[in-house]
Amino acid sequence: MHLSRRSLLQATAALTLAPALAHARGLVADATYLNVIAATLDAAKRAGASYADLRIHRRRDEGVRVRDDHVESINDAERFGVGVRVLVNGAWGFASSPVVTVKEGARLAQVACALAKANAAVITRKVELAPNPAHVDVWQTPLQKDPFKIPVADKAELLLAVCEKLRAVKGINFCEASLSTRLEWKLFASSDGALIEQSQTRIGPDYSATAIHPTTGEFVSRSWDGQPLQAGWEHLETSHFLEDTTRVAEEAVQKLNSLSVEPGKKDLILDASNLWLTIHESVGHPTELDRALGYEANMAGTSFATIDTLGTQYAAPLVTLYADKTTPGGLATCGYDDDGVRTQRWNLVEKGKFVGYQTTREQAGWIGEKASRGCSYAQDHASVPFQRMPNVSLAPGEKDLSVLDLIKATDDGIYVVGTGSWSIDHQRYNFQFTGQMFFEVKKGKVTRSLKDVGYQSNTPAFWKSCDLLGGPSSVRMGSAFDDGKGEPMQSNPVSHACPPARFRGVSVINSASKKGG
Amino acid sequence: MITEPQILALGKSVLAVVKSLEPKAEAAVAVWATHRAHTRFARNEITTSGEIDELSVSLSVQLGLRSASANSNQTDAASLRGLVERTLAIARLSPELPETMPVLGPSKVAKSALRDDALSRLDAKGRAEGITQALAPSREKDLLTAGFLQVWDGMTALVTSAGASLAQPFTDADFSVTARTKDGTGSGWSTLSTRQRALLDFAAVGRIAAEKAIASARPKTLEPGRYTVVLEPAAVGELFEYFTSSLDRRAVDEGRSAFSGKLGQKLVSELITLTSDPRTTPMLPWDGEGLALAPRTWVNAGVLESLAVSRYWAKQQKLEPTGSYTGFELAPGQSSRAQLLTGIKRGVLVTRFWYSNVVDPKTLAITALTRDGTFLIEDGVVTTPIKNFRINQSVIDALAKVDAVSSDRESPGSSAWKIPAMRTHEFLLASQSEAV
Repeated sequence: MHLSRRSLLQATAALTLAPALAHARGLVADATYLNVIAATLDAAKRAGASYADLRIHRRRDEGVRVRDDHVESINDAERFGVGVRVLVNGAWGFASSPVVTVKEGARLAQVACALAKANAAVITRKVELAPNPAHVDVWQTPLQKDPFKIPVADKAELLLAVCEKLRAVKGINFCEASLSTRLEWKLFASSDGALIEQSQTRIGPDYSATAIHPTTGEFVSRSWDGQPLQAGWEHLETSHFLEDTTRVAEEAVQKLNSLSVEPGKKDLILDASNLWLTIHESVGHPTELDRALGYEANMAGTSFATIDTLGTQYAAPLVTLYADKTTPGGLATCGYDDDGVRTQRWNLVEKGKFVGYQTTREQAGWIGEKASRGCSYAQDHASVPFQRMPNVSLAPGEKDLSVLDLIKATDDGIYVVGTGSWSIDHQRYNFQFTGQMFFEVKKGKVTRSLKDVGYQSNTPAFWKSCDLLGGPSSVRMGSAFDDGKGEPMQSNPVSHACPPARFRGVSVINSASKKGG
Repeated sequence: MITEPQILALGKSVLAVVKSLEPKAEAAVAVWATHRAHTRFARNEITTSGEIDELSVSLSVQLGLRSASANSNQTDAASLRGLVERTLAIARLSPELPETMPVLGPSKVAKSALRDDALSRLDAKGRAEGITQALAPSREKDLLTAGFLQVWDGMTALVTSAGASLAQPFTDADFSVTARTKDGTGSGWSTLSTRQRALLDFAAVGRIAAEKAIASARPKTLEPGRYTVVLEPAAVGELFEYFTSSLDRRAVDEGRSAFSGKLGQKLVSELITLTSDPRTTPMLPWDGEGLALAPRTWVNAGVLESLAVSRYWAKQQKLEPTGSYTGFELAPGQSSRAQLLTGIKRGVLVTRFWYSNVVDPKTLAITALTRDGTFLIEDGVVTTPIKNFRINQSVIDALAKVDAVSSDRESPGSSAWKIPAMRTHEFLLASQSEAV
């Protein structure tokens, strides 16, 4: 049974728990914001809202880019404002503004309620939210060094040092390095009485080296396999950012001079640095409930993983894929989602069987679940919260196998490292990925490097062909800083932890177009 | 909505703060003020709608070759001063950036006709009525419909310490509809973008999506391979997204572009002429630095005639800078849509592509999926719905083999683009997709 919004509102007096935040280990707890919250929720209630919430949200993005021997750009963008969401007669309305005052909050509540009423007149299915405790809490990224306190000159110096090392390798013509740093601070309050303050810090270093063949003019690039993380500056100090440069540059030159792959069915060993993106596209997106039910049909598409396929075989029995918004360092990790639901871990695919979806409070009842999985997210104050992907990860095998063990166990295959090009159809069946580096494997050994490798498959067939997993020690995390979804398009930072894995008989294409397909 | 004098005054107030804090600094201020309204619908019902007000200020400062940019959407006096202080602090701490170019001074830029009062007055009730019109054909045919409407009303300005003072009001709207058959075997889509209310034909978009959904139901299988294809404007637009993003002179000169060594040569079919002209293309008439955008022909009858040159690269190579363009027009052809099919023994009609990505930058080869209406053409007539395909195809090769271009043009996805349909040959439909 699901409580209606109105009954929840009656059951919980708004803001009765507000003073508790001041006693929590608060980050800001600015009293003026509590006044904005009170005025906004009060105005929403007066305008007929059975439920209302607001997010006062600050987002800061800093970017430093370096090219070859010089700094190309330094940018710092900050956005602040409030987004108000209401339910009136079972329909949503939303309004936002960069002005965060008592007066503006009340105005936004009225605008949102007017929109909701207009929508309520034409809808037949009323929104019902799954019940949720009214949490009052504070959460922040565990970090050692705030990256926004590191001077940009130091960041530029590090990136220039990276480029210097890349360019020192013979055969490298160009290189680029960048560092993206993002802070999200938000104060969520709802008419249920929730009051949650959260601060997330994410850092995304990157670089690539380009080699051009001196006679043919052919060119290739090799990007670093390191990943963004929800962490502080310490990520730069522990991720081998600088140490990997020479190898990355040498591999760019090596790739340029590698043999172009012969297409055909091959056994693939996908390094964690490649597999995370395949998980994102072929498991993360198909198990979004809004997609499965047609709510994203106009943009991202629908999903082959429809409700009637719950309980059927999605993957080989050794495969368990789980969602987890609590994974340390994961870009989607937080304490509470943008519905105020405490985050959690649950299985999407268990021992090969499709068992779970990603949901929000609005969606849980659609599949008969009693509570949300906590997957609501909005990228900023000006965006409507909706279902976004949590960190979706592949559980390692029981035996603690390394990637070398996987190579040793393979008679004839290709080992794929890093991410390159990616594409998947609008129901998440047919996909095609490339990578950064490709190594031929014969009789348990890497024999030579290859280029122009792409692999193309169909999601269920691909996951059912998985027959070997790396163990717990081989797990690595890959991340997307800006995963797009929705209309208007919103970006969601998300990570995927996985071991290397082997897949049998996958279709390998030559990505150089004349031989393509 | 903010007025032109108000937005220019806001920008100049930021310049004044820069001057007061650092008299030697050069600065450029871009201001965007927008009211954005959107309505989203799915399963034949409105799901969300919102109204969003934003006012953002982007400041770039230069202290010799030290420079930095920062942006904020807080426009009270204290916040603007904070923005200036933050930007100056970053610039002072930053190393020298050799690519820094001096801010631009005054220039004569004719305003473009980008604003329509009638579109700015389209309120929540009007949007709901429009969507109801679009949903009518789907409801009549028992289809499941999803879609999105977004309407912008805004003003942008750019002022610099060297005296540039530019402002441009605009409106814009994007509307799209996907209709699906309830058995899940058919899907149709249509879209349009326009800056004018009178051209926002809700009913037509809804009708085309519904017709395609019904026509595409229960598709047959066609073997992958190379086929003659007729690409509708949205599909053509996807190819030109990649083509236009490759028009960078610097990458070409550095040898890391598919266009390297091709300037001045015949690159694609002589039926293709690609231009940008702020007088006819509904685009902002200046770029992000305030450089006036001149009419330009990129491809003339198949010949790659010019490339985009940044101010820095122009200085390095002793060229004229072109500025950065966001609007493009493909010249219309001579063929009706029916004539594009004429003579095709066995080919494929593509409504649009989805999830495209570069797989080989050397040849500008992309991969993508067909979607929302893929049909078999036999003996010059569309006969049968077929399952979708993954394509792996060089954009340049596909455009080189174009032998017919439609006389009508559409603006799918951006009001600043005008795109016809095209016919091309030996297009690689690489593998089957089961997706509907």
